[in-house]
Amino acid sequence: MPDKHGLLKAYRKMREIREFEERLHVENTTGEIPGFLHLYTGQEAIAVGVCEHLTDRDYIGSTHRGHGHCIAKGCDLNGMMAEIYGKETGLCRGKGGSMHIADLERGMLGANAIVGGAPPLAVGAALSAKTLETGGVAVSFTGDGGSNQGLVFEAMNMAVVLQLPVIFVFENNGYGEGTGHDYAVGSRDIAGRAAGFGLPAVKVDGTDFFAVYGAMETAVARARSRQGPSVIEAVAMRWHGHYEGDAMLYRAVGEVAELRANHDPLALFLKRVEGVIPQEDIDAVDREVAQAIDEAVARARAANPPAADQVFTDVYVDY
Amino acid sequence: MSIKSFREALNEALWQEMERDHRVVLMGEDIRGGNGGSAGEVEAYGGVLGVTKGLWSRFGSSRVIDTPITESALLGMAAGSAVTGLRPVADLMFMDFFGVSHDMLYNQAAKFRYMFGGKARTPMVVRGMIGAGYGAGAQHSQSPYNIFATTPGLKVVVPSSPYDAKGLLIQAIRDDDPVVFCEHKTLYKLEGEVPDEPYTIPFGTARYTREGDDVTIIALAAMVQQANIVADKLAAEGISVEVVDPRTISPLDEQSILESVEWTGRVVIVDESAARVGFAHDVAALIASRGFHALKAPIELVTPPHTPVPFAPSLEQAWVPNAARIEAAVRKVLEA
Amino acid sequence: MSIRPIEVPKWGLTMEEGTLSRWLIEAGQPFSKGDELCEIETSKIANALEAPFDGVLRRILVQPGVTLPVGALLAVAAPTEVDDAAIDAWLAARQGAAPVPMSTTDAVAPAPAAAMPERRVVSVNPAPQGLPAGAGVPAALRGQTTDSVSATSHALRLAQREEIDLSRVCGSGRDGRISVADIEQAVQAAGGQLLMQNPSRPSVERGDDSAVAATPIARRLARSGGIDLRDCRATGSRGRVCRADVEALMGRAGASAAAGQPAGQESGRFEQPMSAMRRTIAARLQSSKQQAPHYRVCMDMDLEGLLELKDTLNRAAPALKLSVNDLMIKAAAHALMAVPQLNAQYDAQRQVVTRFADADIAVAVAIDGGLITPIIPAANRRSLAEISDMMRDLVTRAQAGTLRPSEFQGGSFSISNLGMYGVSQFDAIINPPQVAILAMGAAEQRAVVRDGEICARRQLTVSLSSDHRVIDGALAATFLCELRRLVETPALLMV
Repeated sequence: MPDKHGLLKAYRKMREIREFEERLHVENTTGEIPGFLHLYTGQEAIAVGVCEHLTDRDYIGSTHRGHGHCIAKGCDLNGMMAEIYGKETGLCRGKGGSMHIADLERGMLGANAIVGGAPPLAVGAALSAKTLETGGVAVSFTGDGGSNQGLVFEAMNMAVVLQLPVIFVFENNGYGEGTGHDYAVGSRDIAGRAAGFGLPAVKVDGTDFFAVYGAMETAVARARSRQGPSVIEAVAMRWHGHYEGDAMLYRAVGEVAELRANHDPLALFLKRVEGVIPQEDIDAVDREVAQAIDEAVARARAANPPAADQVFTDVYVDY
Repeated sequence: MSIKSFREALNEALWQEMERDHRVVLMGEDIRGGNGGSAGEVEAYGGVLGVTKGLWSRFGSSRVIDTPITESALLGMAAGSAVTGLRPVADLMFMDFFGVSHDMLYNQAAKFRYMFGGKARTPMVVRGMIGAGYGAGAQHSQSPYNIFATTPGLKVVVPSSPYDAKGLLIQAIRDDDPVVFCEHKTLYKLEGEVPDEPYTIPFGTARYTREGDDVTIIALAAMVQQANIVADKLAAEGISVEVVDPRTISPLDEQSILESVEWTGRVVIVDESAARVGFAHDVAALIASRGFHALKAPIELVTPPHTPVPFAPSLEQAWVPNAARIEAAVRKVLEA
Repeated sequence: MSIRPIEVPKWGLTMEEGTLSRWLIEAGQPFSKGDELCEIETSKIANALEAPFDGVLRRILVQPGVTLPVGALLAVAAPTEVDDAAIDAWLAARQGAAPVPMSTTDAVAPAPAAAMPERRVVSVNPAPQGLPAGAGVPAALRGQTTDSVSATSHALRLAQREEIDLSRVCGSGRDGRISVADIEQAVQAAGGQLLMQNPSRPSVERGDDSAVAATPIARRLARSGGIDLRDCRATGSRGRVCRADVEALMGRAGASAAAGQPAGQESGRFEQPMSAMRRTIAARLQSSKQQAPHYRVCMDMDLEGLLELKDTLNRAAPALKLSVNDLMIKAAAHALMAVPQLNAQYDAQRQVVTRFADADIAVAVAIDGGLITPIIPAANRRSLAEISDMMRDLVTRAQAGTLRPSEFQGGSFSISNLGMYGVSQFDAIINPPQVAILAMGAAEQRAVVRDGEICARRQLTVSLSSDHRVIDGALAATFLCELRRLVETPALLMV
């Protein structure tokens, strides 16, 4: 388990994700933000529990619901916000948007709009790490919806066959778009099914930071010591719709309210660290984070959109 | 310099690049062959038609990786490793298989650099066989390079000779963008002079296999030989035919194509890939919009019919464009 | 009688032939289906041929090391009761289908195909008609492309045709590759003009294109430029070939194609783009005047004797129809034999003067839109009748635009005559690379002083322009002296 410093750092990250996403939820209604938004609220403990074991030399591949992973991996909040607003100061210079935010220097291979897209890419990153002996590992995040994709199975098999240092994290947030996981995942057990591919697979409570952290500790140790890949299924319901604007007619009335009241990962975390971390430290983090988010939004609003000639740039390295 | 087959030229290119750069890693199905078989550690295949033979023996399992038959994961692994430091050469075996793997090339590798604002580099090569003529049937005889070429972010290479094959493959491996390298299966045994040392051929440079004044034939891969046959036959009649082999269709050497058209004013384009929305149509549009004033006759296209590739040899021969059809098109364009 | 063949099998899609490496069974031995009979090697694998049936191996036909195509006969199996004669007969019957062994080496060697970058030129058409190569190329770009330059195939060919040194052209393509467009731009920037004509095969035999709808200007231009109207696009009004279409074929007409027909009378003037011929003449003569230090030497010549000879000959043989010009050509040719230094060409780049044994005299002829200089080759060895006939023919064909390049390219000396316009004297510009040109004025009645008395004599004035790099004044004067001697004593032309 992390020490006090580590715990506070983890809390800060989770708070950043929470405030970032909640702010977007509000700002999106102004109409200023182009395109789709997929918010991560309710799943913060998974991203942070996993990424606290990773450094810049480790790679993660994400989903369309990738803001949480980006922040947990250390991507710059201002750059992220500007990218979501489609401005030239964005992490991808406004060329990618919310679903493609990436920062390779931080080991973030990008949010991915193709469901199930991350696992094969993470396998590739793991192959690089193994071949070039960097000591790094690769992590892919996939939802319960994505867990059924063929290429996800292919990726797991490949990782086992080649014994690669990759961890497949499945975030079971209850729904794949508008369909419950209990319908779409035939075996009703993502981890159990994954275990059939020949790698260790555990299932944890995704709202419990410590459970996720612990499972990831084991998996990372395995990977770094060349014992091969692992699977972690972390269960934590999402609080918002599949996308912003989703009426969520597939959810029972009161379901989200109940989640907010009883399954808030941050509240659960704070309860666990009560007495370990002073309240004023928590309050300070809350204040700093709120300010940082304000600043990110203000900067994003003020920044310029990319110039028209940027349409043509960076298709190739050279042509 | 020595005589090598197209296959040997490719093998040599891979060998020399793997020697030069430890980051070049091959991956594919049975590029070595023999993993897990009862015969033990042998190099059972070296690629379905032998292109990668000998490489595993020299470089070992960490650089010549046999994968299960999972093309999505294969190309995904190639894309992910390319963007994180390796220079993978993935063997898709038959380009017809792009159907089961294409997202990793189409939506991922091709778009990383653009979507991530110029911060990604994806130096991967996907090699695979194209072309009809061996009775391999509808699902193993196609040439989908036109589909790859429409995707911005991919480069597409289609060599027609052993010399071009080696130079272009080395170039592809050294290139920092995703390259789809299409090898016509009937060309593997074609022999020609190939330098023994490594060399590159820049992308986007066409080669004229015949220079002439009366008609231009634009052709790719196996069709280049057919065009040469026609050119040589017609030369005896005093008809002077120029044959242009673009070699790479993305980037495309538009200038060499247009210069030839401006010189002769008459064009025949022969392309095995598609009856519609193909390479031939792309080049025809280029000529019609930028070389129109030079044309003395309508552009002639020689393509297969809009059908899958048939199996029976008699039907397959009727399907693939051949010298007779090209010659007929040339004569037609001269009389127009 | 079940004689059965053992044949080379097809293993795999691309196998076309195999090499027998060794037999695993001897003739006379029985075998069962599935037994290994022999080992065969292909370019990809070595494998054993399994017997496809039960039998007795009776005749081995192929020895180890031989390569045969798929389906070829390796051996014959038959029951022991079948005798050898029957097997022989069976083999003979099959002989037609039996392919010849391809080689006896181990390696499978497919027929070698074409070698490395072959770039064969299939051009079988004659050299382009029209004006000489490189005519419009400025000196700054002239030369041979020696080093390997990155250039497109057509750029290299154009450079060769027009004698352009590509090291002086800037390439705008990939890695500085030079294109045809780059060369055009460089030539234009240096004040020149390219004449790029593809001697492409005409649709039908060159001859009568009168059926093609064309504007009158286009027709005349096509005729004088040697263009067949059927090779032109027709973008003019009412579907006719217009001037721009003909010019497009004659050379890159650039401005003229855009300008089209002259607009009209808004301010009493209209622009007329220069034709290709005009531009060539302009370029050549400007270059001549600038490069060669011209100086002129004039002399008056008494024509009484010459004119009397002409009249005598024309009366005696009316078919002759000699002209003063014909006689002057012959006189000049003889004078050049006496003063051969003027019968020469000068190559400034190589600093070499080329002298000629015969006088190939080029005579300036005015044609529609310009002028051309058809040549009387070896005029010194031709009779007056020949010279006269040739001149008539050359002038006719010059005006019809049907001269062949060899008929107007070259020449060792030129004559220009404006006498028919009443011009008394003028100075001509040297026709490069020649070193001199003789300009003749009109034969006129003049008042001259002879033996102290004024009398009327028919005379003409000639002006010799010479290139002082090669010809000094005394030499020029000597030539004119000799010319006058011949002109004033024309009987000498018979010697």
